[in-house]
Amino acid sequence: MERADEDDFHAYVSERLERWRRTAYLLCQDWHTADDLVSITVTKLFRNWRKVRTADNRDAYAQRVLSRSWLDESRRASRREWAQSEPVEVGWSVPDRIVDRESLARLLKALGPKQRAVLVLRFYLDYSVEETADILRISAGTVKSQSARGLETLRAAAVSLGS
Amino acid sequence: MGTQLFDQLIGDLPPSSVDVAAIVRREKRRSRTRWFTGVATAVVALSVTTAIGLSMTSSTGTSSPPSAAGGSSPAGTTADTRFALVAYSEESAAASAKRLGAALDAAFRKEAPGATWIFDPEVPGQTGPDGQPPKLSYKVVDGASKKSQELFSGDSGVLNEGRKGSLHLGVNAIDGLGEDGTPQRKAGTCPPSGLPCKAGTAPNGAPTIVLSKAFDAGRVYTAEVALPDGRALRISVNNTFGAGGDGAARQATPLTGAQALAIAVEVASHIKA
Repeated sequence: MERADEDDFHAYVSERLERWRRTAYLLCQDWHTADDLVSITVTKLFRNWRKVRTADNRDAYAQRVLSRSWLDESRRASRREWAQSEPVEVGWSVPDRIVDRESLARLLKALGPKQRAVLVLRFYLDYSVEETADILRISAGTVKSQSARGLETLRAAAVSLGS
Repeated sequence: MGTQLFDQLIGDLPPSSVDVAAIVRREKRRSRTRWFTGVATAVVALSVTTAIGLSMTSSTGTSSPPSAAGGSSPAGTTADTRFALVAYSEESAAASAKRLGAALDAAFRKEAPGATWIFDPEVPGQTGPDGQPPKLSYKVVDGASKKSQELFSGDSGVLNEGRKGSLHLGVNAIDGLGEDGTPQRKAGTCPPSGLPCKAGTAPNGAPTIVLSKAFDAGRVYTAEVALPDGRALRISVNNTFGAGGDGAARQATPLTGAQALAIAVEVASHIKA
């Protein structure tokens, strides 16, 4: 990699690092894992920087890498946990209204990794249905169906917050 | 709309442990090593080709007896084909993962002759198309590595006599310590969870266990063998396949717990400290 490319890479990453960490945390709700995910993302972006820097939408590309890293990690983790730990307790249901950070945290934890990613991309990062579908490599219909419940509860949140 | 709540959930960001400069240094080192490896491989290949050519030219029409100092193994001895699982660099980790994957494939074919690898939609990139063994992933050991994370791992769908499920192989990084540094159980010993667990010993003396766990959605067998360096090699087989374990979830696992153990023992027998 040329020196100028490397400088470009450093500038690009440093501008977005905080945003990626925030997004990763929303996906996994654990700062250690979040930083692991961002490190993996940075590594992959560096390896493919020539391709990334000429991409039509670098941010969507980076978000795709981060999201895929999360889905890969959660898949591995769930298999490990499934094999090593006790079954997850059931008996808790998704709250009807999201009025505080605790209920949002519970909602996110109750969702599967892909649904959680849909919710974060759509309602935190403000990606459109089509952009979300492209990032997660799923259909627009799947994005709509998976985000419908979250949209409903977040609308309730907006009302309760007066926004 | 809900961004405010998301930000509340995130709260204050702790100091970042993402070391971009270190990542760049490591990747540049990896890139250089790959370049040198490529050049060295080309040089060796050229040398071997030249040597073979010269040898064939000089021995044409003659029948040379085998050289006493030829370097071949003496009769009655076998070469040690075992390999070490090393992950101190990108190259060593990739090479170890490749050898481990080949050992898994060979053990799978030996211990479950009727079974086949199938594409598992839940693990794209690690397996597929049908018939292809899983591609094991790896983590390079560095200061940021979690102590209990799986250093080598891979998943694949498995089909056996009409039963579908998933197989997972995992080798943890450091035995004996959890992520927070607290002691954990030793490899090859039953956990105190109360789950059905059968302890045993591999032909080479390594302790083994087979755990069985039933869920509403299915069943999983986990076979674990202690490796020579104290790490654990695990093979888990379940009867879920695809998203949420639909379809075949109510059927038996494609491999038995005994087969999972046999595969784990066979793979472990190829690994040295």
